[in-house]
Amino acid sequence: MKFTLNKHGSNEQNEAIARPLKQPSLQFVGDRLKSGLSIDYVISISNFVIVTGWMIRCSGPYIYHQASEVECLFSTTFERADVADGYNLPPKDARGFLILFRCDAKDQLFCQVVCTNQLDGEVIRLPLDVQDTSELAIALNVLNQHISHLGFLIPHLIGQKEWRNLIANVVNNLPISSEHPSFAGFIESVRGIKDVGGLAIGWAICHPACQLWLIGDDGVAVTLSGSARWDRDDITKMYFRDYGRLVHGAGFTQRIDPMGELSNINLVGIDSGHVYVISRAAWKRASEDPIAFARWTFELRTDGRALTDRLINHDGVILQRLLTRGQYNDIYLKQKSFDMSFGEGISEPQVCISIPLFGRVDFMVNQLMEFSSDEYIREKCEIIYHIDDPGIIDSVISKSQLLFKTYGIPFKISWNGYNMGFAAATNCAVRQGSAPLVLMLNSDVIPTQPGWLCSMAGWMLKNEDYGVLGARLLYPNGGVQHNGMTCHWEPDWSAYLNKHPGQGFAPENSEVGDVKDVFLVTAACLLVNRSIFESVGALDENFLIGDFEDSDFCLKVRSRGLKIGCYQSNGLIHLERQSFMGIGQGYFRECVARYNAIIHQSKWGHTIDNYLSTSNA
Amino acid sequence: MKVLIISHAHPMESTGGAELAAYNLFEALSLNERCESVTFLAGSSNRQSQAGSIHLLSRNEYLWAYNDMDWFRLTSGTPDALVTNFRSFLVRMAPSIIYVHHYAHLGLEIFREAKTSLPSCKVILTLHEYLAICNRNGQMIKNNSRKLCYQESIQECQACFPEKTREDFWLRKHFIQRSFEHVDHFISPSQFLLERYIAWGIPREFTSVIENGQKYYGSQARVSTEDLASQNHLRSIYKRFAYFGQATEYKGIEVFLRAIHALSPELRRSMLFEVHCANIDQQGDWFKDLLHELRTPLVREGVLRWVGPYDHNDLAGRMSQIGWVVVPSTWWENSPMVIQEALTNHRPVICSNIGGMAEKVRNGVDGIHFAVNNFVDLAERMIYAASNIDVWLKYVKNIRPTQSLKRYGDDYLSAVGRC
Repeated sequence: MKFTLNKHGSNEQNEAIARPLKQPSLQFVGDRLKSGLSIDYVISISNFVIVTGWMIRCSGPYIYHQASEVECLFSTTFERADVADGYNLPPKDARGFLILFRCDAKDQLFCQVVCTNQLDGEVIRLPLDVQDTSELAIALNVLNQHISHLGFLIPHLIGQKEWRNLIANVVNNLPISSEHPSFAGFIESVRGIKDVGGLAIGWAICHPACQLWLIGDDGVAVTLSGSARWDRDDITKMYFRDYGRLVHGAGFTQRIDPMGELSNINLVGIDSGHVYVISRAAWKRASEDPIAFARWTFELRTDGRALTDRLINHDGVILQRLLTRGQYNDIYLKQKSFDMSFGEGISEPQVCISIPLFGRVDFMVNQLMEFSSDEYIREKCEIIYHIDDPGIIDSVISKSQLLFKTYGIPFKISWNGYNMGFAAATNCAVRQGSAPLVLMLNSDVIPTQPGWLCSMAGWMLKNEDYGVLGARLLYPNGGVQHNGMTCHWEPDWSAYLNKHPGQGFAPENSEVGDVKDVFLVTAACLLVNRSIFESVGALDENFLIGDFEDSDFCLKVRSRGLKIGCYQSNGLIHLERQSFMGIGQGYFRECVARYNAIIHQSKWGHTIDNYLSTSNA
Repeated sequence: MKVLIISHAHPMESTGGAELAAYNLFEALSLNERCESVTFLAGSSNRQSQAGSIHLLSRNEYLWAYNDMDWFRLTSGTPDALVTNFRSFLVRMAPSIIYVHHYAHLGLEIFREAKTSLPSCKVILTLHEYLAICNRNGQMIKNNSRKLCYQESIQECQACFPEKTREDFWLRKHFIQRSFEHVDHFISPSQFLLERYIAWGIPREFTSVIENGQKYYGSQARVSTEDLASQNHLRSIYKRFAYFGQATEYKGIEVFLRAIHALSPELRRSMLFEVHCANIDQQGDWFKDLLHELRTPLVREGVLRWVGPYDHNDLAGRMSQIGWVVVPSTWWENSPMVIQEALTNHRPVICSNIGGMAEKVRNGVDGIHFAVNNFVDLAERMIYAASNIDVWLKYVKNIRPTQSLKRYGDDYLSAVGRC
């Protein structure tokens, strides 16, 4: 249910709801008014009932269901000068009240007060006519009249969508209180995606006795107590004088869970029940593309603990929702997808070489130059480059024909309309091929001698107990880049990370062509039988951009009881991460890696624990 | 046999050592009876022609218009032309030997293309400087310190060009070496340069050293030293020192000028100095300002003649008027044409004691070495050289004949047998 009202509703509505629901019950001694009870409003929405009214020289009030007292969620009394004036009483003798309680049985409810004067001990009881409120304007008016108590109601009512809408409506119409001794703050950025969620980013200072909330329209409300927090030097400098140590951890990121159409969101402070709007910001639409979303959110630099918190509870949750709901099916983007073949395809190829292209095109030159001098690749392999970077499409297309004419080796290029990330791009390339063996190959792996793939494929076909065959890769200086992977625990990330034993050292003196048993291998150069590739579900596309999908893939293969081998080659050079330079370095890269590590940990943490404990034993 | 000579430029457009060496080979082989036909294909920067097009310049001479190449990877700026115009040209000419004198401007892809189009053709590349080894214009000089670089390494190259990654340099070298695999034989005009390339990765068995051939112009060059000494107007020839060449930073012209400044005024007024240089306008302002500052007082003093650019046909005449040729380059050089030209014209050389210069000039025999970049040392060597005419005559007499065009052509043809 969604509605919008001006502050306190219109005049007509005010007139309409000015009527008390019941006549007051007044107790006289002689002709002197001694006690009284009056119910102003009974608002019932979704089994939560608010009763407001006033009483004269009484204590209470209490709610009864038949003979049993109902436990109230919240109850407060306050002065009612209007009542005192109307009955010519001292101000302290007339008290207004507001009660909130949960009510499943709506009949036989009473409001009861106990007289505290000459009628001491007598009770006054009025029946409550509890019916689901259809006129939400009345409810809105009641909430507006009780801004100073709204803060007490919010924790109880915010779980109910209709109440949330009402509260949001009230809050949206409150003026902004930029300065308050107990809190300060500002919403710097809010972006979201309909039905997925979003993030609010800003800073906030709050006295421990107070609370901060983010409340927006369309039922969005969340307390900042669960937000990721970090120190902000700028805020510390500016506000330390006013707020002292409260400035620490001022920066915040808060996930907003799935919502519909949004307009505003408010940073709300609650001090002794009174609600203040500290900052208000208009929502912006975030990109539904997970990589674009990550680029936006990871622009925000926070320290390690806050980053972990963000990745587990905030940014990462939204990213995961975007990734797991699948690649988009944007018709416009699909229309832009294409594939092009250069040269005659190989008939009955033995290996499908699947190469995602990102950032750099020049690797194609070095790779194709080498492929063309390798008889096995030239005659038995299909080569598929899948472009995963819109920035290089034109360059790849313009170079491809020339590369084919120059090197004379057939290959195919494809583009799916958008940047898919390493896993999806590799899967896409693999599925365009038909060869029974699949070689996942990074564009920055350059072979320098022929014969390696023929040898790997031959070995793979003879050893069916192996599910995956990786390869020893070297750095340009001849040191080992990869010769199988294991995992090590990274306390700062609270996750296992992939580790390359012997990385950077001179290669062991193993015979070229030997295969070594390893725990995991990198997908920079990974040979697998197509049937195994498909049966384990290909590379998991829920990793962002490219990380951990290779170890995830190997762990899936291992879980089928198959072994992982690493082919000892001396001629495969890996210009590690060169193909990823374009996705950014430093903090963005770290955020992506941390995010993927968290996903990987949640899937395989126990399996890795078991493996490591077994292998150590 | 049908021969094709490919040069990165035509001497008509540019008179660098490599294009002169290439054209000299063209002339030498054109006169050689063993050659059925000789064709010269030169890169051309002439913007009147469509980039990538190949067109006739004169009988047996063609120009190949190019666009700016990728100077890091050394790849063609008109890659389409390689598999179209160049491929057609090769098939039409059908040479059995291709001598390539430089791949600058044209791109390394020409080697693969030559072998793809004409698999049985022999491809012989003459190395003219260190372009494949060093991204700094092939000079093997450190980018920041400007110190001499002795050997390529990915780490050191990346330190010179921090905007590139180490992997970029690996890819560069990988591409160049793979392109060189289509070359059947490498010729270097100097042993020094050859050793650098062997250290870089070219197998020694695929290499030869053949000096560039020289053309003899006019009669003055062949005048005997006795005749020269007896001529009155040349009586003080041994006190005349000249610099010939480009006015670039690494040719050491400022070392020469500083050395003149280092001489006492009385001494330098008893000597004469000449600078025959070209392309000063193409240099950076700081360098032009430096040269202006150094030369102006010397010209005013009357000890320096700033002669300016020269045509190669004038060279013998100009050299006949001076006693010593100074080659003060601060980089390694290969086999500087000016040294060969000086020796051809019977003029001893005072040169830096490094690289191709030290190899081509025999210290104390037909020339004098001085410590590279050390203008005080150069000044001392010039004082010695100008001490009396007998010193000069001794050096002149020791000069050996340089490589003739005939021998040059023969040596190149014999290199085919080593493919």
